[in-house]
Amino acid sequence: MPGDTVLMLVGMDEETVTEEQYAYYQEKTGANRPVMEQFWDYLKGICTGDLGYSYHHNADISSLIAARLPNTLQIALPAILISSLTAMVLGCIMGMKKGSPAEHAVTSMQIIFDAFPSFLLGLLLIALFAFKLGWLPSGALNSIRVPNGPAAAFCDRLKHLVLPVLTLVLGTIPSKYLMICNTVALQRKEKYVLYARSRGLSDTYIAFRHIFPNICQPFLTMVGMNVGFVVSGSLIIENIFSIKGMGSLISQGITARDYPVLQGCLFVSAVVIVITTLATDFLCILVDPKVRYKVHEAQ
Amino acid sequence: MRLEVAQLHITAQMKGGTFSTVVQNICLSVETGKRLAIVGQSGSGKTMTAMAILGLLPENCSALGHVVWNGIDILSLNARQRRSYLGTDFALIPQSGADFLNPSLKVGTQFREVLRRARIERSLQGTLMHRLLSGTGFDDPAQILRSYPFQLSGGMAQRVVMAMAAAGNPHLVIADEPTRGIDQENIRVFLANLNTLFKDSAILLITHDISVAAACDEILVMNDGHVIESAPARILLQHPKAKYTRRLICNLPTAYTSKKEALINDA
Amino acid sequence: MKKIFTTLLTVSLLFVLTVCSAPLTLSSKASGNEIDTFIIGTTAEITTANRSEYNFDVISGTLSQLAPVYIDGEGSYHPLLCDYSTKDSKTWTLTVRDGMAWHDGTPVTADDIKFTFEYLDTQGEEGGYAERFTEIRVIDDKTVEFELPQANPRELANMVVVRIMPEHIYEGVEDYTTVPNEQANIGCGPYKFSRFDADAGVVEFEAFTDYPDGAPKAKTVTLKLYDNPDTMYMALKSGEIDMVYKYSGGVDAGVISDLEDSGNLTLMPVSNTANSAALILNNNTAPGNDINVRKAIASAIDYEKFRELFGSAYAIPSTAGFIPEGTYGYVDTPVLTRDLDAARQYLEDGGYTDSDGDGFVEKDGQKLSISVMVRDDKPDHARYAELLQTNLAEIGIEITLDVQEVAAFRELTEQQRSQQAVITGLTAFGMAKNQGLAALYLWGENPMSYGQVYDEAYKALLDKADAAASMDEYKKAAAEIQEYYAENLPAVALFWDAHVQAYNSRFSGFSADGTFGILNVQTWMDLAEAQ
Repeated sequence: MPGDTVLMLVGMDEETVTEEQYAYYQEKTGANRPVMEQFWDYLKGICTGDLGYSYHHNADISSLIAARLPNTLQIALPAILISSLTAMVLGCIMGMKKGSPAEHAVTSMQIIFDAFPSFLLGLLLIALFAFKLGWLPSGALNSIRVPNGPAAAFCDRLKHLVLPVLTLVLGTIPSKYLMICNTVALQRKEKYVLYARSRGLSDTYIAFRHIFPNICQPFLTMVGMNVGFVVSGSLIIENIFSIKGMGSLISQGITARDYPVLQGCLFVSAVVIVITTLATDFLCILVDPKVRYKVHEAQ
Repeated sequence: MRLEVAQLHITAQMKGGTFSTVVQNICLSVETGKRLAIVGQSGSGKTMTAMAILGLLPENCSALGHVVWNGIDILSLNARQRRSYLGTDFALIPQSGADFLNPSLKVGTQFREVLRRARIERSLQGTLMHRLLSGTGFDDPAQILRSYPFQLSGGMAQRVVMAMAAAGNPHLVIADEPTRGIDQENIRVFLANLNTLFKDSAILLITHDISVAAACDEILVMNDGHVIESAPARILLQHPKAKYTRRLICNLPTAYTSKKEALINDA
Repeated sequence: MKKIFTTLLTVSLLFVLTVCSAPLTLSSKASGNEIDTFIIGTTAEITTANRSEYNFDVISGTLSQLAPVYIDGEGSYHPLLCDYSTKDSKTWTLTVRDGMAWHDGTPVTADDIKFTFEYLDTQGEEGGYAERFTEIRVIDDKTVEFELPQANPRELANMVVVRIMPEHIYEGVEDYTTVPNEQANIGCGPYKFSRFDADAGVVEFEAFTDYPDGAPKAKTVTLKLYDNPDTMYMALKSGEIDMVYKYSGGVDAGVISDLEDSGNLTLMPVSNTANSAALILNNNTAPGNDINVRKAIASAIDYEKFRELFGSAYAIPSTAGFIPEGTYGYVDTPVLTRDLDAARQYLEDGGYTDSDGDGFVEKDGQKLSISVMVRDDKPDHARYAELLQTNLAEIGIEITLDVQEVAAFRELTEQQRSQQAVITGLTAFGMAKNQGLAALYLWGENPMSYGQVYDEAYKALLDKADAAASMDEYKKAAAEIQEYYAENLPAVALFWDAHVQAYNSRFSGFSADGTFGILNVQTWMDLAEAQ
C-alpha cells in the first residue's frame, strides 16, 4: 500500500507536515507500536463497539456507520422486499405461461430493463417524476421544511423514499424474475403438476400454491443473499439522490484511502453477511418438511 | 352417461421439429357403471390416450378425432372449457400416489382442493374426508390428513389418491396402472374399494395385470399406438382373437393359473 | 388471491402519493423588495457544517464569516470587516468598522483579530498566519497593527481569506474541530448560521438584521447539497434551486449550452485569474532546458482547437505572458498562436532533425521525446495531453502520457522533481502567492515548483517585486516578469476560460468578488427579485 501509514491515517501531506506534527500523530495513532499489539487492540476495540477513528471525517467510525446505515437500510430493505415479491408473483405467473406471447413480451421487457444502467434509470425517473410532473422530490431524505407532527413527517420521509426505492426495485427485479420464471417453467413437467391439473386446479393456483413451495429454497437463498449485501449500500442510488448512506461512505473511503473507515465498514458488512447467510441456510432447511418431521420424530 | 372415443390420433412434435405418431385410430367407449380395462405393453400409448381424454396432453402433443362425453365432443373445446370437466365429471387416479402428490404440501391441504372444487361446504369437508379415508381402510384419517406424502407408504398413498378421486363424485374415473408394484392381497382390497367408491361411475382402468383386467367388463388391447382387439372380458380372455393378444395374456403376471393353462391348451 | 394483492398494492401506493401530498416547492416568494428564501445548489461535500470543514468554511466565508478586506473583480481591495491603512507597506493598521458585532451580540474587537491570527497557527492550518509578522499590536479595542519584517505592498492578498474568529468562543479551545456547530459557526457577516440537516441535505442561514450596512435582501439563504451534478442542473432548470455555486469555478463547460436553452437562466461569465490548463516544462532538465524546444512547442500547439474542444463559449486565447487578464498588474503580451513553420525552424535552430525518417526529430542520436505527467483525478488533463500529443507529432516531437495518482504526483513533482513536463491547473490563490504571477509554481527553489526555473535573471525580477514599496513599483516589476515569460516561455497556458455562473433570471444584483465569485457581501446587499 502506497504512502506512509501515519500520514495516510491522518490525511496530511509529506511536504507540509513538520517533524513534531509527525511524531505527535505517530504517537496518537499508535503506528509506532508492534503490529501484533495494534491488532490485539483493534480486536479488543471491536468487542466494545469501538471501530476506530477517522481523521478524514473527524468522527468515530462507529458513529459514522450508525448515522449512515439506517439511511441505506431505509432504501434497501423495502426495495428487496418489493422486488422479491414482485419478481416472485410475476415469475410464477409467467413461468406457467412460458412460450405464450404474454410471457415473451414480459420476459423481453425484463431483459431490456436488466440492460439499463441504474444511474440512467434513476435520472430518467427524477426527470419525469420530480421535475416534469413535480409529484415527488428529487433527492435527499427529508424536505427542507419538514412538516409538523410525526404522521406528516413520516409521510414526508416516505415520499422521499419512493424514487430511490423504485429505481433500486426496477433494477433488481429482472434477474430474480428470470430465475423464478425459468424454474417454474421447468417444474411444469413434474408429476405433481400433472396431478394437480387433473384435479381441475387453475394454472395460477398451481403456480403459487403447488410450485412455489417447491422452489422456495432457491428463492429464499436469493433473497437472503440480497439482504446480506444490503449493508454495502448502493453507491449509484445514493449519489443520484444525494443520500448519505453506506455506499458513499465506502467509496469515499476508497478514494481517500481512509483505511480505518474501510476496515470498519467491511467488518460490519462481513458480520451481517455471515449472519444472514446462516439464517437463510437455516430457514431453507426448516422449509423442507422432511427435515422438520425428522427432527420432530427424533424427539 | 357415456364416453365415446372415435378415430383418436395423437401426434407429438419432437426436438428438431419432426412429428411422430403416438396413437392412431383409437376407438373405445365406456358407460357409467361399467369398467373398461386398457391393456398393453409400455409405450403402447395407453397413458397418452387417457391424457388425451382428460385434456392433459403435454404441450408438444396434439390430438385429432372425437372424444364425445355426454354428446359433446370435448376435443373441440378450448383449454378453459376442458378444465371445467376435471375434478367434477372426470377424475384421475395416478400411477403411484406417492410420486404424484405434492411433496411439500400436507395430504389434507391437497385433499381439500378437490372438495373446494366440488363446492362442498367448508364445515362438511372434514367429515367427508374422514369418511372417504376410513372407507379405503384407514384407521386414523386425521393422522393421514396431517401427514406429508413422504410419510406414507406406497400402498397408503395409493388409497389416499383413490379417496381423493372419489371426493368429487366423478362420472368418469381413469386409473393409470393403479396396481403396479402392489401385492395380491392389496390388489383385492383395491378392487373392493373401486367397487365401493365408484359404483356409479364409468371406469377406465389402464393395467398390465390380467387379474385386474379380468375384473372389468370390457378389455381393450393396445400395441404400438393401435387397438389390437376389443371385447367383453370373459370372451377376450377365453377366446383371444389376435395372436398378439394371446402372447400378451400368456406373458402377463396372473393369478388365474387355470385360465392360463386353458389358454395354452387352446393354442 | 392475485386480485387482493394487486388491489392492496394500488391502494397503498395511492395512499402514499395522495394523502401525503403537501406542496413541496420552495420557490422564493418576493414581498416588496424582500426575498423570502434564496436557494443555492452545490456539489461541494459538506458533512459536518463545522467551521473546521474546508468546504463549509469557504461557503460560510461568503455569508457568515468575514475577512478584514475583500478584493473585487478588477483586482482592487476594499474594506470589509475593517478599514485599513498603511504608510510604508511594512506596518498595516486595521480598524474594525463601527457596528460590527458577532451573531450572539458581542461586538467585534481588535483582540478578536489578533487572536485569530495567533490561534490559526496553532491549529495546524497551512500558510502561517501570525508567524509571518514580527509583531501584532492591539492599539485600542478597535485598532490593531501588523508589522512585517519587510515591506510588502501586496500584503492584503494574504488577508483576503483570513476569516476572523470570536476570541470569546475559541479561547482556550485546544482543537477547534470539537466546538459544536451553534457556537463554532458564530460569525459577524450579514447571515448567521441557522441549521444543518444532513438528511435533507441542506445548510440554512438566516439574515442577521443588525448588520451595520443594513439587513441583507434575502431573509433566508439555503444551501442545498447534491451528490450528483446532473440532478443539480435539472433542479436549476426546473426552478427548484435559484443558482449553482462552485468555489473558484463555474458551471461545467459541457452543460452551458443546455442551460442556455432552458430559457429561464442567466449565465454570467466572471473573470478567472487561475490557469486551469497549464503546460509547464521542467526548465532544469532536458529537453525543457532548451529554449528552442520550448519555443517550438509554444508555436506548435493548436490553441484554437483547445478552446474549441475544452473551452466554453467564453474561452479566450492565452498570451505568452502566462498571466490571465484580470490579475493585478496584468500587461498585454503577444497572443499565442499556432505557426508550424516557425516551430520547425526553432527545432532546426536547436539542432533537432529527423535523420532516421521515423517522423520524430533527434539530436545526438536521441529522439526528442517528452513525458507529460498528469493527475489521475483530473481526467480533462489527460485529454489535454492527448491533443498536445497530436499537435506536436506534426513537428516531430513525441509526447508520452504519464498518469499518476495524486499522492505520487505530488511526491514526484515536489520531492524528486524528476518529471519532464506536467499539465495541471494552477489556482488563483496559488498564482497570487509569494510574489504573485505564478512565481510559486515557477521559481526553482519553491516547494511546488513545477517549472524549476533557476535563471538568475528571473530571480532578480522576483526580488524586485519583493522589494517594491508601493503598488506602482510592484506593477512595474510585474510587467517585466510577464515580458520575461513571453521571451523565455517557461510555461504555456493552453487556453483561458471565464468561470460561468448560472442563476435564475428572476434575480439580479450580482457582483463578482475576486476570491469567492458572485456570492459575497455586496451581492447579498444588492440582490433583487423580479416580480
